[in-house]
Amino acid sequence: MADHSKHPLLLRFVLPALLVAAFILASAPAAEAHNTWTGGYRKWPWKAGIDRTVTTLPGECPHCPGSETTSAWKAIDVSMYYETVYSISPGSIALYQPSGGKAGMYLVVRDADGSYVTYEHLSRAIVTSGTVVAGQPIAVSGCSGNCYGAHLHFQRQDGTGFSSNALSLTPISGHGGSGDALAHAAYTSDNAGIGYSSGGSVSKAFQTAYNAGGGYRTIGVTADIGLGWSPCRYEGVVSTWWRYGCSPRSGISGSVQTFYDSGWNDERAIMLENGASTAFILYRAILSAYTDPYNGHDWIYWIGYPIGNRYSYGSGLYRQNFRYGYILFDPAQCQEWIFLGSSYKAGGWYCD
Amino acid sequence: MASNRLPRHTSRALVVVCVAMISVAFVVIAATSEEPSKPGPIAREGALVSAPIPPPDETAPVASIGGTVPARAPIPDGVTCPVDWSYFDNPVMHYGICVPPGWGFSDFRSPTALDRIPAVELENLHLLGNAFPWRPGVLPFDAIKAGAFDVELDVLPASARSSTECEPATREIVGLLTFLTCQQQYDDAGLPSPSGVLRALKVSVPLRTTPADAFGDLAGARLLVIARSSATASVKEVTTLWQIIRSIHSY
Repeated sequence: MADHSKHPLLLRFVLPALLVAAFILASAPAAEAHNTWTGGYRKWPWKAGIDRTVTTLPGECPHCPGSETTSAWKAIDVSMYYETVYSISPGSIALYQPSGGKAGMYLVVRDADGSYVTYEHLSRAIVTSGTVVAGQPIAVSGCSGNCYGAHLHFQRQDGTGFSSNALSLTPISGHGGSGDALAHAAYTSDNAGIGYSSGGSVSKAFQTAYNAGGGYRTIGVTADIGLGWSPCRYEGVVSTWWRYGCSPRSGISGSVQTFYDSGWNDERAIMLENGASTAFILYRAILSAYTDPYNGHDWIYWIGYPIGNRYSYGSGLYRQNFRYGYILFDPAQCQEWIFLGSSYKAGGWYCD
Repeated sequence: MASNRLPRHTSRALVVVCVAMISVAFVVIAATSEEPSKPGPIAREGALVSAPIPPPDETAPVASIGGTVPARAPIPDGVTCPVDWSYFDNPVMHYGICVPPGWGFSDFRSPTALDRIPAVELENLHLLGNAFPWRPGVLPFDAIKAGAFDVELDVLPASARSSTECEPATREIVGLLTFLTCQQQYDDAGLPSPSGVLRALKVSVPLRTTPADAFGDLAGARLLVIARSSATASVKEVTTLWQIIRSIHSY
């Protein structure tokens, strides 16, 4: 009898409740899609954390009469006043033109997907040839050419010429991942890039490590806001995805930038100890173990910054040395052993 | 007992359905969550995000270079400008230029010429003539077609070459400097066209001092002057453009 009395309750209340809950969950809008390498890896071309307003949308282009059939008509204008322009995607410089025409000084970057992204009305080109990484400072916006005031005009197209066919700019990180249209609105960039400046030794060390490690194909793209490891978390220092001067304790300080490559768990970091000129890469397994807390601190507190990249240690193991210790990694077993000095202290279970 | 079998089966079926639905719910939650599905570094991200604190060796971006420079400066010794003309000194690019009366620098946002020029604009200037009061929103090319003049002064990296437009190659000796020049015409859309209504005189001027900005030295950089006028500009007007260009004083 007891069984009989439960079934109506289950049928009348529990099951409908579960159905309703499942319906709500299934119909809830997906979270804003973050960029992944296979999805929308492009980022806004201005500095991370900064808002800039899209003033001209595709199809408007009030300043390019006669260009209705060209890619310029599909461009957008952004209110950028003589500011650093960061590449929205990895690729290479396809064209640099000091033009006297409508575009003024402009750069065309061949995107990793084979399309082209044009940046116009520049006042200064920082790079004019070679490869670029997502977020690399490539130019300074301005008002060259037929310009109504300083701004950045950029567009994506299928060739380098002005008569090329326009392609959609979206999805761009933080917008467009769900297919929604751009608007006359302010957007916050998460284009952390490889540092904020191309002129400093920190940025150059990061770029060197990034390129030496295989660039975006191996290291991935910079992690979005809200992602990435937060060294010094336990020391009360607020986190950011690009960190300068992380100093968890006296004598340990440096810079950290996190990346992801094609998935949530495919993390990397590049770290540069203060005073060092070479930055090193931490791949996922070692990075994951390294970022496990131990006695209330991240391992950066205990074994410091890396002083080399990982290397084969024999018997199928990898080893990476740190200032005050090292980590061994067995990729076959997905296991890590962390040593402070030469003393084994803790283990981890992470795969690359 | 037989009467209990069907409810028992129903119960099991319901349990299976519930488990399946809960699993689906978890999958949906996982799919819409920004959290990783497996513990890793990103699972421990802190909630706060602040602006990074630049380390001492990171140079400031161009936009952070403060200050302005005056649009008129005293004419230095050894430099001569035509009577009634003023002089402008660009301390970033290390050149000076004579400015005809009524001409002035514009950011296209103000009806009047700029009295002072923000330092960040010194690598990309527009010196306008027959253009004031300027109507903000008007496009320079439209104003030029209506009789205005626009002398654009840009920094040109050493290796910069144009493949889509004329490349300054004709030599013109001005004082101790050799300018390279060429002329280009543009159509209504602002694209190169031999019969275009807009003419640009492009001049490459060597710089004696390597300019430097937040992104480092511009070794070998030149000054690119693009003097734009209507293709129907008079000889006198074109002569004025040439006077301006020839007055460039690199130091």
